[in-house]
Amino acid sequence: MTTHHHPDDELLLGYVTGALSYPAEVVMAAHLTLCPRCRDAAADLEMVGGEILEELEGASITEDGLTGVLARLDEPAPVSMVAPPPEADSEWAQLVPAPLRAMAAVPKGDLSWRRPLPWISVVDLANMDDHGAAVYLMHVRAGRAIPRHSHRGTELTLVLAGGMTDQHGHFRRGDLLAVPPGVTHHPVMDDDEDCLCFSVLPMEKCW
Amino acid sequence: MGNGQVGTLKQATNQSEGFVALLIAVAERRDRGAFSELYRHYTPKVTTLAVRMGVERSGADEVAQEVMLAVWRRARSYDPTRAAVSTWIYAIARNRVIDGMRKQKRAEVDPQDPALEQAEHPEVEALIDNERRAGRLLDALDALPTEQAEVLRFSYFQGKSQSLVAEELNLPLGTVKSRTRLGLARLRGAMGEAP
Ligand SMILES: [Zn+2]
Repeated sequence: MTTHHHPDDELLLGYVTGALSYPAEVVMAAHLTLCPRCRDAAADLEMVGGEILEELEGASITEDGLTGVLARLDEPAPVSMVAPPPEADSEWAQLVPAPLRAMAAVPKGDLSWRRPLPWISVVDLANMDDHGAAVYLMHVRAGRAIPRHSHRGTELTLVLAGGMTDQHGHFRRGDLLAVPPGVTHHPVMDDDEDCLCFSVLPMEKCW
Repeated sequence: MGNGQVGTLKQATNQSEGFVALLIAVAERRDRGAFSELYRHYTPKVTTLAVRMGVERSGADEVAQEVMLAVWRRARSYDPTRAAVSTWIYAIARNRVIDGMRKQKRAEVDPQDPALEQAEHPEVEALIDNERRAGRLLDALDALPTEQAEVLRFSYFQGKSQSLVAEELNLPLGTVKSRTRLGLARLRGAMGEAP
């Protein structure tokens, strides 16, 4: 698999520096899972962060602070919450990158799908009030289209299965569509396979 | 230690190779002396980074201590072929700051993810000398035109979008974007790949 549509430097830098909203961060982490090229680019930007850290000065440490930390070294580590829930469906785990499974917070079998149109099923992954954005997984039947729409913020859509075409090109697994505010588009799914994608539609520009 | 000024590339490289050895001593031998040296060098820097990223002054010491505890706990997962020590600690610090500011954990790639797409042409990883690249990068950062360096540092410190960087530096957005692009191109050149 080779991805052809990648995030621009602004999105990559925003991801590395922590400037993105949580949903946009999940889109980026999911794209990086599927795109070794952008993983390398992000690692380089992280190295810039490391050297910017290296340049910083600060007040010298206190011996008390060091003694305090040395005394805590043998404490048990706090339980990490990063891991996505155990996924019984291994096909699903291969299809959907871990940051997205963690955001969904439940295994595949517990996702609650709604059907806004007969050929489109959607799982809402986040409360719009929390993020100022609509965040969902969308399943669209092969050969069908998503109704023509535009948005006030930049839409980010990551294709996970199947493919879709709009005026920006043809998008397949791993490809990222970033549709600027105000641009109307009308994605049509490939004929040979149902499409699964992850979308973030901000109500306001949020990066 | 305690002298953070690094004069030349050679010194920078020697120093950072020393940090790799210290971190490996922590990982393999649970060496408290090695940890103390890393602590002395990085704690002041991480504290300053946390403040620049928006952590209250009063909470920044605690954040830095937690970051250094994480360095101790996760030292075994450090892989010198994948990251320089400073890169690895930067990522831990950034994630800790983000986690303290919102409900959701920082979203990251999981190297064990069944969905992970492997690189088609895995590089000969042993040949990638990250500490040397980091040393070259530090020099390039030093040599960057002031206005490019300012915009880049601001992006990293504040963890802010380009439009907010533009607002705070009182610059047109297009200027921030072009300075970022030019700055990144130079730094990438120094790290040794096509800009
Ligand atoms: Zn990519």
